[in-house]
Amino acid sequence: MKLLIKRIANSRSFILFRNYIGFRPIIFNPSYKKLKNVSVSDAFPWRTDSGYVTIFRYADLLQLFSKIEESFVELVFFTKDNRFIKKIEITQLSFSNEIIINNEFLNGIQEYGYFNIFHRTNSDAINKLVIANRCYIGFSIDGSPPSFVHGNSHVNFKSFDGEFSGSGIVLSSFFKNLYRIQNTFLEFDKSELFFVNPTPSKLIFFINNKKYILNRGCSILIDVSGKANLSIRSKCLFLRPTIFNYKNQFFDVYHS
Amino acid sequence: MNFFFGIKSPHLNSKVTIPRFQNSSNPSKNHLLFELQIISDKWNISNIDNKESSGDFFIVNENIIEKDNFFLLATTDEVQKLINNGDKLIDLNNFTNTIPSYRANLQVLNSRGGFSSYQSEYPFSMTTKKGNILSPISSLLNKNADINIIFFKNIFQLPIQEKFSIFFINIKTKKILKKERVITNCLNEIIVDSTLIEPDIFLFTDKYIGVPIFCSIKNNYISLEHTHPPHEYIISENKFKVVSQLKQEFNEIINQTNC
Repeated sequence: MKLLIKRIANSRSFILFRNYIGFRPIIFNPSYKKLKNVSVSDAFPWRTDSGYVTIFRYADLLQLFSKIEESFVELVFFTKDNRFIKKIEITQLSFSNEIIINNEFLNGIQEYGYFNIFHRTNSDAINKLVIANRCYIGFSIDGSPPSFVHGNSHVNFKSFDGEFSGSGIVLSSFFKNLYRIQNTFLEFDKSELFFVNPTPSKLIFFINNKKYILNRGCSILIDVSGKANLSIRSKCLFLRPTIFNYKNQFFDVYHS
Repeated sequence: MNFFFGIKSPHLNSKVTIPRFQNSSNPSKNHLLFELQIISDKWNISNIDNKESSGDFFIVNENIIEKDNFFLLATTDEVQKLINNGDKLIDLNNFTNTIPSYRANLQVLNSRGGFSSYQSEYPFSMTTKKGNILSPISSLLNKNADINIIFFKNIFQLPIQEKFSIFFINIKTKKILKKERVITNCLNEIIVDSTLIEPDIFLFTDKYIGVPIFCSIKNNYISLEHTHPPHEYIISENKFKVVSQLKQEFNEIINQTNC
């Protein structure tokens, strides 16, 4: 009986209904957890605008968890308008790894956007593993020591063998949801919110009643300097920005 | 329920900003800020002067923050349960059990204006468990920093201050490179030598879990962030089995050395 109830509760139609009426909505699509041998990625922000360099640190999870040494990672970069920039594969992996994302690395682009990381292998020694590397992104301005923040949400996935991929992990509801950022920005010279659209479709959201539209895969930096309270309304059930705060020559990055 | 904590250190000051509202609703007038600390082998809970509140936030300043205290939001009725029985922490409410997660803000700062922040929550569910924490060292520290610090906060349900160990282990050579003695129900501060900031070196605890927070300071710039426990990197249902096997390897290393 319990199994039956669990099955019904996790069924697509029941989740859609709960999310439609807003009753204990399900934020992440549970079906992706049932996939086999898949790497899930956040939409990690990168910045090369305004003197920024982004430092990305990640673990070799397949070596750590499954002792797979012949694995590699695939990194795919997009601009803020979801234009594809480049895809790289890194085959020489340590347990902890780092890459520097600057404008030379991104073909001279001084902008911002997002990227994904997927762990890949053709080894058949792995049994039904779904991993999500939260990773750490450090932001440095004009050579300053970096301020690090970890990944914020599951967005895209790809199978270890590269045979299939997908998105649509973050779900939406029929009605708009309120998300109040639980911090205040009064003490800073400048504050910015970095949003990446985590959904597979066009996203409309409001910050203190100002409307923003983000197409699929697009990202946006929004100046919210000096605001005491910030409320975000959207149908997306998990829209949490990365926050950049500035004061004098110092700055701080964290997730909301 | 979540607890909140600050950082007391000779290298940094800190303040904790705790919202009086859930992330989808208006501020609660009933939830007050309380401080918890062990006194005479009992949990002692006391109300923090509400003059410390600022608008929709409680601000916990450095003059209140100690290595062995932490904070919670509760109503006066709810804390009565803990006042009546200080032998064990109890789950008083679900005010901070929200989806998306409830977020406080722990900001560290230095006298030159450098600052950095991290979310500061310590879930009640962690206080009921013993176990091991495993975390890479090099992901959030920097070899060329002026100083690298790991703050390890443990909150355990019983009002005890018991010693346990944090090991720095090279996963490839299976060698323990450093061992630090730390205590429960305390914010432990470990200065990390740059020789330990290598891709193959991991932090591993025996007996107790906790939250490792990594702090790196250079030229007065500060980076502060926590790492996730390994099971948060695995989504599939076999997550605890996979992580248990990995931790077993580390347990074998520390047990062999202890023999």
